[in-house]
Amino acid sequence: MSSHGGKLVWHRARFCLDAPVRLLRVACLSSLILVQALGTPLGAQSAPTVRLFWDANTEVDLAGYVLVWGVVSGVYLGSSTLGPTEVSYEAPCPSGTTYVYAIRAFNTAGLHSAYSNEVRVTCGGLPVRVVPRALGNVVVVVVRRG
Amino acid sequence: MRQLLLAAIMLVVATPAFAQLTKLGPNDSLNVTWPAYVAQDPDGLDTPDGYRVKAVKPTQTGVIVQTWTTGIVTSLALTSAQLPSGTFSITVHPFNVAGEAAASNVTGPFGKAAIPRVQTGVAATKVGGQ
Repeated sequence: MSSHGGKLVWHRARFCLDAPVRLLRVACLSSLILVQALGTPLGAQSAPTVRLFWDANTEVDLAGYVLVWGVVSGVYLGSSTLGPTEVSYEAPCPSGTTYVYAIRAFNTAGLHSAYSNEVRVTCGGLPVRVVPRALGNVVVVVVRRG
Repeated sequence: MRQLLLAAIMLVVATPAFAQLTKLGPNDSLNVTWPAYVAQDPDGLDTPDGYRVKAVKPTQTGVIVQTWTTGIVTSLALTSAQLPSGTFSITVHPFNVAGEAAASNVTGPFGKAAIPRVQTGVAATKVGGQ
């Protein structure tokens, strides 16, 4: 965080891991996704990204997650398959675009849950920290002892 | 004559009034305090990550003698041992990843006594006796 011009934005999301082959049980977790919009690191030329966080699913047969993104809701252009222990991912977020992100879980049987709600991030105009202004009213008191 | 008097008055007004040097002894310390920073950016993007308290040369603008870096606090106590010898003034600069603010109001000057140099030219002359 300290090396990026970042800004924190909270989004509420709900993940559901459907497991229809196992007695039609549906496990739903209410989660928070933290989207941290990251500027280009100082002195680097890497592309802007966002870091997405989610609360882990607790199913014993959880095998991982698929994080997806795109520019149109429900139409995903890219994805990344993540392990079951992952709880965050730094995804691309090209400047000047608005990307939507969603995530779904899958289990060891290869079954996927429904997608979570989408998180929408405007990637252009990422917030940049501003230099503080000068202070006034600085006071120095001499403390004399002895 | 009137123009000369006016020029003299203008010269007096334009001459900066230098604050008197406050001498510091070996047991003296300084307590520097400043107001808590109030963000002006609506998103708080100018919020400082900390403050730099600087001892600067009072007669040489921008010459830094020593810098102390703090977190988000509003005071810094400096013992005599921490202070540089010689004359200095104190300024405070909030900073974050975007950069460092210009100097605050300048407080001082302060002068920490240095150990006198070795005396030279000592002579003894025998007076009287055999």
